Amino acid sequence: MKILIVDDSSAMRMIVRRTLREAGYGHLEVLQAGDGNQALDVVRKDPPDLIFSDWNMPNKSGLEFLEALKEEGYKIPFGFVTTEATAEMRAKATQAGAKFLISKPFTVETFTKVLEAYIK
Amino acid sequence: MPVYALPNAAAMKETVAMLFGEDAKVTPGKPLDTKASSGNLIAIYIDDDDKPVAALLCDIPFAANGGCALSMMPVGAAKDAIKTKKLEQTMLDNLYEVMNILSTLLMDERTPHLKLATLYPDLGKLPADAKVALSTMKGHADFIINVPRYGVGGLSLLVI
Repeated sequence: MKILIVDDSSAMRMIVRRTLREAGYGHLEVLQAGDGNQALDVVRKDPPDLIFSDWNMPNKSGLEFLEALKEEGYKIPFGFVTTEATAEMRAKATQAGAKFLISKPFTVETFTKVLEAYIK
Repeated sequence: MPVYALPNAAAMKETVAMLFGEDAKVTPGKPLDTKASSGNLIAIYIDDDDKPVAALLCDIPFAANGGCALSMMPVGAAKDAIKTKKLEQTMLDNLYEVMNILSTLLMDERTPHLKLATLYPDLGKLPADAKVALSTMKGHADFIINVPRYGVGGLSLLVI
Protein backbone atom coordinates (compact mmCIF):
# COMPACT_ATOMS: atom_id res chain seq x y z
CA MET A 1 0.00 0.00 0.00
CA LYS A 2 1.25 3.47 -0.93
CA ILE A 3 0.80 6.68 1.03
CA LEU A 4 1.47 10.18 -0.28
CA ILE A 5 2.51 12.86 2.23
CA VAL A 6 2.20 16.44 0.99
CA ASP A 7 3.62 19.34 3.02
CA ASP A 8 5.90 22.25 2.16
CA SER A 9 7.81 21.59 5.39
CA SER A 10 10.31 18.75 5.02
CA ALA A 11 10.31 18.51 8.84
CA MET A 12 6.56 17.91 8.90
CA ARG A 13 6.88 15.23 6.23
CA MET A 14 9.55 13.56 8.43
CA ILE A 15 7.30 13.85 11.47
CA VAL A 16 4.32 12.31 9.65
CA ARG A 17 6.55 9.46 8.43
CA ARG A 18 7.84 8.89 11.97
CA THR A 19 4.32 8.94 13.36
CA LEU A 20 3.20 6.38 10.77
CA ARG A 21 6.12 4.16 11.88
CA GLU A 22 5.25 4.58 15.54
CA ALA A 23 1.63 3.75 14.75
CA GLY A 24 2.83 0.42 13.32
CA TYR A 25 2.66 1.34 9.63
CA GLY A 26 6.37 1.62 8.91
CA HIS A 27 6.15 -1.13 6.30
CA LEU A 28 4.05 0.99 3.94
CA GLU A 29 5.58 2.66 0.91
CA VAL A 30 5.69 6.44 1.38
CA LEU A 31 5.76 9.02 -1.41
CA GLN A 32 6.35 12.71 -0.72
CA ALA A 33 5.67 16.09 -2.30
CA GLY A 34 6.38 19.68 -1.25
CA ASP A 35 3.29 21.35 -2.69
CA GLY A 36 0.06 20.68 -4.54
CA ASN A 37 1.62 20.85 -8.00
CA GLN A 38 4.38 18.37 -7.14
CA ALA A 39 1.78 16.15 -5.49
CA LEU A 40 -0.36 16.12 -8.64
CA ASP A 41 2.69 15.05 -10.67
CA VAL A 42 3.36 12.24 -8.19
CA VAL A 43 -0.25 11.04 -8.37
CA ARG A 44 -0.24 11.03 -12.17
CA LYS A 45 2.98 8.96 -12.28
CA ASP A 46 2.35 6.60 -9.36
CA PRO A 47 -1.14 6.86 -7.81
CA PRO A 48 -1.08 6.27 -4.04
CA ASP A 49 -3.79 4.53 -2.02
CA LEU A 50 -4.12 7.29 0.59
CA ILE A 51 -3.11 10.96 0.76
CA PHE A 52 -2.19 13.15 3.75
CA SER A 53 -1.95 16.79 2.81
CA ASP A 54 -1.21 20.07 4.52
CA TRP A 55 -3.72 22.87 3.89
CA ASN A 56 -1.56 25.96 3.32
CA MET A 57 1.16 25.43 0.74
CA PRO A 58 2.70 27.53 -2.03
CA ASN A 59 2.09 26.64 -5.71
CA LYS A 60 -1.28 25.00 -5.09
CA SER A 61 -2.81 24.61 -1.65
CA GLY A 62 -4.08 21.34 -0.21
CA LEU A 63 -7.65 22.31 -1.07
CA GLU A 64 -6.71 23.20 -4.65
CA PHE A 65 -4.83 19.90 -4.92
CA LEU A 66 -7.95 18.00 -3.77
CA GLU A 67 -10.12 19.89 -6.28
CA ALA A 68 -7.61 19.09 -9.04
CA LEU A 69 -7.67 15.39 -8.13
CA LYS A 70 -11.46 15.35 -8.40
CA GLU A 71 -11.35 17.15 -11.77
CA GLU A 72 -8.94 14.52 -13.10
CA GLY A 73 -11.17 11.70 -11.91
CA TYR A 74 -9.04 10.36 -9.06
CA LYS A 75 -10.95 8.81 -6.17
CA ILE A 76 -8.07 8.37 -3.71
CA PRO A 77 -9.02 8.72 0.00
CA PHE A 78 -7.71 12.15 1.02
CA GLY A 79 -7.23 13.80 4.41
CA PHE A 80 -5.72 17.00 5.76
CA VAL A 81 -2.98 17.21 8.40
CA THR A 82 -3.07 20.86 9.34
CA THR A 83 -3.11 23.57 11.98
CA GLU A 84 -6.27 24.92 10.26
CA ALA A 85 -8.71 22.97 12.40
CA THR A 86 -11.58 25.40 13.03
CA ALA A 87 -15.15 24.18 12.56
CA GLU A 88 -15.35 26.31 9.40
CA MET A 89 -12.24 24.68 7.94
CA ARG A 90 -13.44 21.20 8.82
CA ALA A 91 -16.72 21.94 7.02
CA LYS A 92 -14.79 23.21 3.96
CA ALA A 93 -12.63 20.09 4.00
CA THR A 94 -15.64 17.77 4.21
CA GLN A 95 -17.50 19.66 1.48
CA ALA A 96 -14.46 19.35 -0.76
CA GLY A 97 -14.41 15.59 -0.25
CA ALA A 98 -11.74 15.10 2.40
CA LYS A 99 -12.36 11.97 4.47
CA PHE A 100 -10.62 13.23 7.62
CA LEU A 101 -8.76 16.18 9.10
CA ILE A 102 -5.96 15.62 11.60
CA SER A 103 -5.08 18.78 13.47
CA LYS A 104 -1.50 19.66 14.48
CA PRO A 105 -0.08 18.96 16.98
CA PHE A 106 -1.14 15.34 16.67
CA THR A 107 -0.34 12.16 18.55
CA VAL A 108 0.34 8.62 17.38
CA GLU A 109 -3.10 7.65 18.72
CA THR A 110 -4.80 10.29 16.53
CA PHE A 111 -3.13 8.81 13.47
CA THR A 112 -3.94 5.23 14.47
CA LYS A 113 -7.65 6.00 14.88
CA VAL A 114 -7.84 7.58 11.44
CA LEU A 115 -5.66 5.06 9.65
CA GLU A 116 -7.44 1.95 10.90
CA ALA A 117 -10.30 2.79 8.55
CA TYR A 118 -8.08 3.07 5.48
CA ILE A 119 -5.00 0.93 5.85
CA LYS A 120 -5.10 -2.85 5.62
CA MET B 1 -2.43 42.16 27.14
CA PRO B 2 -0.24 40.58 24.42
CA VAL B 3 -1.62 40.73 20.89
CA TYR B 4 -0.49 37.18 20.22
CA ALA B 5 -0.97 33.98 22.17
CA LEU B 6 1.55 32.44 24.52
CA PRO B 7 1.41 28.72 25.23
CA ASN B 8 1.28 27.11 28.63
CA ALA B 9 3.44 24.10 29.39
CA ALA B 10 0.69 21.65 28.36
CA ALA B 11 0.32 23.21 24.90
CA MET B 12 4.10 23.36 24.49
CA LYS B 13 4.34 19.70 25.51
CA GLU B 14 1.81 18.62 22.83
CA THR B 15 3.78 20.34 20.08
CA VAL B 16 7.16 19.23 21.38
CA ALA B 17 5.87 15.64 21.63
CA MET B 18 4.83 15.80 17.98
CA LEU B 19 8.29 17.15 17.04
CA PHE B 20 10.50 14.93 19.17
CA GLY B 21 8.38 12.05 20.45
CA GLU B 22 6.04 11.37 23.35
CA ASP B 23 8.93 11.19 25.86
CA ALA B 24 9.84 14.85 25.33
CA LYS B 25 9.45 16.84 28.54
CA VAL B 26 8.61 20.48 29.16
CA THR B 27 9.20 22.38 32.40
CA PRO B 28 9.05 26.09 33.23
CA GLY B 29 12.31 27.93 32.53
CA LYS B 30 13.86 31.34 32.97
CA PRO B 31 13.85 34.11 30.33
CA LEU B 32 16.75 33.71 27.93
CA ASP B 33 19.20 36.59 27.52
CA THR B 34 18.63 38.73 24.42
CA LYS B 35 22.14 40.23 24.43
CA ALA B 36 24.39 39.50 21.44
CA SER B 37 27.06 38.11 23.77
CA SER B 38 24.67 35.44 25.10
CA GLY B 39 25.26 33.12 22.14
CA ASN B 40 21.51 32.49 21.95
CA LEU B 41 19.72 32.14 18.62
CA ILE B 42 16.57 33.97 17.64
CA ALA B 43 13.72 33.41 15.21
CA ILE B 44 11.77 36.51 14.22
CA TYR B 45 8.13 36.26 13.20
CA ILE B 46 6.33 38.88 11.12
CA ASP B 47 2.71 39.78 10.55
CA ASP B 48 1.01 40.14 7.16
CA ASP B 49 2.47 43.67 6.88
CA ASP B 50 5.99 42.25 7.34
CA LYS B 51 6.28 43.86 10.77
CA PRO B 52 8.24 41.90 13.43
CA VAL B 53 5.69 40.92 16.09
CA ALA B 54 7.12 37.90 17.89
CA ALA B 55 10.36 36.11 18.58
CA LEU B 56 11.53 32.73 19.71
CA LEU B 57 14.87 32.56 21.48
CA CYS B 58 16.70 29.35 22.10
CA ASP B 59 20.05 28.52 23.63
CA ILE B 60 22.72 26.51 21.84
CA PRO B 61 21.81 23.24 23.65
CA PHE B 62 18.24 23.46 22.39
CA ALA B 63 19.41 24.38 18.90
CA ALA B 64 21.84 21.44 18.84
CA ASN B 65 19.58 18.87 20.52
CA GLY B 66 16.41 19.89 18.69
CA GLY B 67 18.21 20.43 15.39
CA CYS B 68 19.80 16.97 15.56
CA ALA B 69 16.71 15.16 16.84
CA LEU B 70 14.54 16.27 13.95
CA SER B 71 16.51 14.24 11.40
CA MET B 72 17.99 11.75 13.88
CA MET B 73 21.57 12.97 13.57
CA PRO B 74 24.01 11.27 15.95
CA VAL B 75 23.81 12.30 19.59
CA GLY B 76 27.56 12.90 19.45
CA ALA B 77 27.04 15.61 16.83
CA ALA B 78 24.76 17.51 19.21
CA LYS B 79 27.25 17.16 22.08
CA ASP B 80 30.07 18.44 19.85
CA ALA B 81 28.02 21.43 18.74
CA ILE B 82 27.21 22.34 22.34
CA LYS B 83 30.87 21.98 23.36
CA THR B 84 32.26 24.03 20.43
CA LYS B 85 29.24 26.38 20.22
CA LYS B 86 29.29 25.75 16.46
CA LEU B 87 26.12 24.42 14.81
CA GLU B 88 26.30 22.54 11.50
CA GLN B 89 24.15 23.85 8.66
CA THR B 90 21.85 20.79 8.81
CA MET B 91 21.18 21.52 12.49
CA LEU B 92 20.32 25.14 11.63
CA ASP B 93 18.08 24.03 8.72
CA ASN B 94 16.28 21.62 11.04
CA LEU B 95 16.03 24.27 13.76
CA TYR B 96 14.39 26.59 11.22
CA GLU B 97 11.75 23.92 10.63
CA VAL B 98 11.25 23.51 14.39
CA MET B 99 10.80 27.27 14.81
CA ASN B 100 8.36 27.25 11.90
CA ILE B 101 6.22 24.59 13.53
CA LEU B 102 6.40 26.33 16.93
CA SER B 103 4.87 29.47 15.35
CA THR B 104 1.45 27.80 15.66
CA LEU B 105 1.74 28.23 19.44
CA LEU B 106 1.71 32.02 19.03
CA MET B 107 -1.64 32.12 17.24
CA ASP B 108 -5.22 31.20 18.02
CA GLU B 109 -8.61 32.03 16.48
CA ARG B 110 -8.46 35.58 17.92
CA THR B 111 -4.93 36.64 16.96
CA PRO B 112 -3.65 38.14 13.72
CA HIS B 113 -1.67 35.84 11.44
CA LEU B 114 2.09 35.66 11.73
CA LYS B 115 4.81 33.62 10.08
CA LEU B 116 8.47 32.85 10.56
CA ALA B 117 10.64 35.35 8.71
CA THR B 118 14.26 34.58 9.60
CA LEU B 119 16.30 32.51 12.02
CA TYR B 120 19.38 34.42 13.21
CA PRO B 121 22.13 32.17 14.62
CA ASP B 122 23.78 35.36 15.88
CA LEU B 123 21.76 37.85 17.96
CA GLY B 124 24.38 40.43 17.03
CA LYS B 125 23.23 40.31 13.39
CA LEU B 126 19.61 41.23 14.12
CA PRO B 127 18.40 44.03 11.80
CA ALA B 128 17.44 47.39 13.35
CA ASP B 129 13.67 46.97 13.03
CA ALA B 130 13.78 43.55 14.68
CA LYS B 131 15.95 44.95 17.52
CA VAL B 132 13.42 47.73 18.13
CA ALA B 133 10.52 45.26 18.01
CA LEU B 134 12.33 42.91 20.40
CA SER B 135 12.64 45.71 22.95
CA THR B 136 8.82 46.13 22.88
CA MET B 137 7.98 42.45 23.33
CA LYS B 138 6.74 42.33 26.89
CA GLY B 139 4.75 39.10 26.77
CA HIS B 140 6.88 36.02 27.32
CA ALA B 141 6.76 32.33 28.15
CA ASP B 142 9.91 30.41 29.05
CA PHE B 143 10.56 26.70 29.03
CA ILE B 144 13.16 24.01 29.42
CA ILE B 145 12.72 21.29 26.81
CA ASN B 146 14.13 17.80 27.33
CA VAL B 147 14.62 16.25 23.88
CA PRO B 148 14.63 12.46 24.28
CA ARG B 149 18.06 10.85 23.67
CA TYR B 150 19.72 14.23 23.21
CA GLY B 151 19.31 16.47 26.23
CA VAL B 152 17.87 19.70 27.57
CA GLY B 153 17.76 23.22 26.22
CA GLY B 154 16.02 26.52 26.85
CA LEU B 155 13.30 28.23 24.82
CA SER B 156 11.76 31.69 25.34
CA LEU B 157 8.75 32.90 23.37
CA LEU B 158 8.29 36.68 23.14
CA VAL B 159 5.33 38.58 21.75
CA ILE B 160 4.26 42.21 21.47
